[in-house]
Amino acid sequence: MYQLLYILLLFVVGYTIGTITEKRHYANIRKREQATIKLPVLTTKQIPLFKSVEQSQLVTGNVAVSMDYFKRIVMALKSFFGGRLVLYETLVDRGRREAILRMKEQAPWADMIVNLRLETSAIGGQGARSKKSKVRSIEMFAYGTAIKFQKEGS
Amino acid sequence: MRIIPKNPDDTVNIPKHHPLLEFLKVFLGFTIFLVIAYFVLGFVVNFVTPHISHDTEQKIAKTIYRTHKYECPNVYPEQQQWLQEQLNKLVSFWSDAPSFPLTVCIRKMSTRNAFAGPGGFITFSSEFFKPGASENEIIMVLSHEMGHYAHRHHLKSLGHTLGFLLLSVTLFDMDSEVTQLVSKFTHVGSRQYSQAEEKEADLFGLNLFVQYFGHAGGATDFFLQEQKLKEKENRNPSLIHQFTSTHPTYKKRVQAMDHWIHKHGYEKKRITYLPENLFID
Repeated sequence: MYQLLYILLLFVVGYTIGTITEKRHYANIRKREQATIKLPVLTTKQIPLFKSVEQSQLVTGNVAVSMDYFKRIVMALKSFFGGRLVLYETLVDRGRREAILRMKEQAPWADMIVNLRLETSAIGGQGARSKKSKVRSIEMFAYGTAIKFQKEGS
Repeated sequence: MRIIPKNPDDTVNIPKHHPLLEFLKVFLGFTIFLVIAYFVLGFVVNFVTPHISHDTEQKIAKTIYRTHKYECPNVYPEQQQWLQEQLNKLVSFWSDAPSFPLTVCIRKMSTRNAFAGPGGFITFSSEFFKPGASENEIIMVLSHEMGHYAHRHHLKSLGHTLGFLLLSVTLFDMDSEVTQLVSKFTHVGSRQYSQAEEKEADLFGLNLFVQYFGHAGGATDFFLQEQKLKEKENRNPSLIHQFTSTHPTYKKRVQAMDHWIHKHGYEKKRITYLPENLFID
């Protein structure tokens, strides 16, 4: 009985802290997105403007986001039935936006970032009695080419 | 080309579902699945168990004892010999007795307790041989343990445990949080199942007891004493404890046995006290 209560406690703590962390993270993401809105990020390989490039540089953003206990349990149960992993989607969204933001924050001097690419990998914990690795966190890696155009008339 | 700066649209990639609602949906679905699996497994185990021969049961027990060897310390040879004789006498009243021998072993324990292990090994607490003890209490407890063999509770319990473990491991992996969670929930479920088994063993034991003594006097003494002891220690179990306990409360057991005694018109005659030479101080 106490073991069940212990799991329930972990569950409640995981949900509470996880929800607070997620809300704070999203608030932080939105604030920083607003602050860097003037730096456009494009997936195109070609520079879409007929301007001369003064400076270009590879910029990267890397982030690892972990799941809380609550999400882990719900996701494991959900994987039994199949369907949309709704709780996982916020994790992926947060990871992707944070990685792009970090990449943008590396190039405050740039006019534009082109050729944006995103890579995802699962960071798995391995059980003591299991050979299978389990997804407990995800890593998001964003990279692109930051460009500064030559000023007109120079 | 004109580039219009825009923040990501939160309405597209962030799901609108509330996490708790998502959890409730998944939890409800999974609970329904577990309940169905539990009953199906119970039905299969109860159907298959009676068809398993005593030889096969003995082979299973041998496999268990290969890793957990059963050894009797024989600390109380006189009492053990007496108890074994009573056990053999009880077996003679039992028409469908298993083909393997039943063996009893007295061990030093601080409480009055007994349990029936796989393969016919019954362990008895030395506390039953305290001065003033009656043969009736001992015979009732012994025949109750024999009831577990009669209803093949070991095999059923093994079947339930193995079935659920296999299901959990197949679906979620051995050390998954879900497997641990499932095992905790089924543990509570198996406790309820275990309470039903205890009642079955009580009634079997009572019938054997009546055949042994010719009456039902003293059959409920042990349970009444334990109940009084708990009341004295103010250890009346809470509802949660009753639900999660392997054994039903002593009060319920006495009630069920008294009902059985009344139903079958068994007489209650004087109890037989244990000879002094068998007392363990």
